[in-house]
Amino acid sequence: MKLLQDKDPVAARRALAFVLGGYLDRRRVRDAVALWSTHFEGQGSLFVALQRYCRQIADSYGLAGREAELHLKVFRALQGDPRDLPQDPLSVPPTDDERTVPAPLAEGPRVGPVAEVSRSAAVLQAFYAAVEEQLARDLPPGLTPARVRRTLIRHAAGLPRPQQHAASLWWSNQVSALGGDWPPGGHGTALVNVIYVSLAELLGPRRADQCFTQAVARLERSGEPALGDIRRWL
Amino acid sequence: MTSILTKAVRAAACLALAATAGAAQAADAAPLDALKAGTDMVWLIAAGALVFFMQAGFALLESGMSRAKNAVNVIMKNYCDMCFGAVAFWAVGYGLMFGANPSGWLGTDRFLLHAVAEADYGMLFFQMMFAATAATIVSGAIAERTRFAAYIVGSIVITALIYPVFGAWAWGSLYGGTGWLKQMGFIDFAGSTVVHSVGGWAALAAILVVGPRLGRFGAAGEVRPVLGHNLTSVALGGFILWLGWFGFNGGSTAAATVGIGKIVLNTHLAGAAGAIGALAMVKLARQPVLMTAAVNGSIAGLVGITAGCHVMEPVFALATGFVAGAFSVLAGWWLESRRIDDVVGAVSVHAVGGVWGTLAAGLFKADALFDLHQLGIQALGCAVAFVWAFGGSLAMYALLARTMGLRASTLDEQRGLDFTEHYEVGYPEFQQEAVHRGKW
Repeated sequence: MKLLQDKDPVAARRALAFVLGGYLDRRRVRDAVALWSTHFEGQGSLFVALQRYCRQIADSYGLAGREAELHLKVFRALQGDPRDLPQDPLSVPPTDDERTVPAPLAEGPRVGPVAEVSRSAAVLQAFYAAVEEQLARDLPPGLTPARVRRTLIRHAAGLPRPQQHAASLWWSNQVSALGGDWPPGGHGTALVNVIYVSLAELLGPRRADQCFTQAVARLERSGEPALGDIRRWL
Repeated sequence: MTSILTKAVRAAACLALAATAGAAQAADAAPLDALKAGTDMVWLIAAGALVFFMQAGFALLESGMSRAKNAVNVIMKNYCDMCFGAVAFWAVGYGLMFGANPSGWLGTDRFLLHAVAEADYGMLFFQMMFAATAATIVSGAIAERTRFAAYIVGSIVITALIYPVFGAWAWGSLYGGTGWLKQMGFIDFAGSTVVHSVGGWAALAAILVVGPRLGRFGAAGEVRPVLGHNLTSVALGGFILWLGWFGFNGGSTAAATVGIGKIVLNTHLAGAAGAIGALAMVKLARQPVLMTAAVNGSIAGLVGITAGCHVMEPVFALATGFVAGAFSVLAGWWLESRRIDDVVGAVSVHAVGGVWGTLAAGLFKADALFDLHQLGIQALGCAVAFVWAFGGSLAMYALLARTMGLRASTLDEQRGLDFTEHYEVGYPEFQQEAVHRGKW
């Protein structure tokens, strides 16, 4: 996970252009990379920033349900041979067909501005991204990401009101980042438990355990000290 | 070579017999009686030790069928059943069950057994093991979601009250008076109903009060299997239980008699037939041939033969075991369809196997085959056991749920009860699930 720590902005933009090129036309790829550059680049942990970014791209460009797939592909591109990546689209002037006003974020729920994310919220966001990634690999038929989020929001009703509000806003994509402070042993642990209860309800206890186990392992291997601390929230 | 050896053995046996006969003529009757009493006691204690070893079998089987994050908790419950149960039965249960019982309903003395005839202590030791067996049946049924403290209180109540009261009706008394079911002619030699059905019905009550594990059944009614973490333990537990059953049934003679041979043979055949019956049933239903079904089938067969192992001929012991094994599979499926989450199949094995075995003891009694009058008495005993054990346990667990709290929290279920209840984990170096905190 060396590349996660490098945070080379050009390499990240080239990887994004490479991955998004498989889904969007050149103009939209340029817009999407510009969105990364203006709102997400350099915003703390690359892992967390990418997770939020992929969610916003999926919502804005009709790729709902493919957030985890995007996330994974970007990581693979970052870990692959840089010579295979296209050039950074922002390093060259736009061609005529690329020169457009960026499209409004019309498709999917509207995502608000990126809020300042506390360290605990960033860890939980990364954890949830890892959980979503596991789900994306093996989601049973009939179980959509939207249904997963609805279940999460329903179970979040057990949290104190401010935390419930923040979690619901996040899971319903009304904000792109989880707001508030989520300390381990307190609300943070309660939020993780909400995720577990939801997964157990939707997938059964065995798969919920597996999903958590994989997500924890992923964070612990990420090389980011903050994410490696995830067990404090369990 | 073989024939020479055989002749030599026969000659030695004749000499020994002659010597024994001569010695017997010369000796007084009193020392012989003492020798007989001593031999009986040795057998009783050895059998009691075998029954004690069954706790290890239960612990291995039940923990193996649970997830790794709950292994320690399950073993702790089995361990503490024995510890708390021993004290509770000594203090209260033995007196209620075997104390002088003039009314036929309850024993009235021999509480806190102290300074009595030495032979009584051996019987208390043996019966103490039975009481703990009845209580420990519950632990596997409600594994992975039950709070430890409330469970232990429930276990104490079963050992001190629920089990001995029914026992007084069916087996009382050793010190005067006869239990009312026993007086009617109810046959339950070693406890198909008294021990196993009572434990099984208590387990059913506990399951209903505590509810299924988180996510065990889907909203649309789908069943989500939760696989055990160590099937090797399950198999070893099954073997140990089987071995212990030779003491369970054989020791119930309370004397070193020649009848023990038939009893343990019947026990063994029924265990074997139980596994075959269970496998035949899963095969018939085109289901996978699971090892857990074979193990549970054999235990159901052993439970089934426990009531009538002393009065049946071996062929009927086989039939009893076979049907018990098949019933255990059917009952397990039915319970699952009713969204009843029994982790180890305790109800289908112990309650259902016990009821069938008790009826079979009436049906297959060697000197009165298919005696409908006896069958009626057996059925009455089963019904009474259900009403008392299930009803009493339901009230007791409902009270515990309201006062102490029986159900573990969702966070406890997520982390695993090893960590939340005992602050230790079963496999710190090889933990298979990271759901608990794991490191601290």
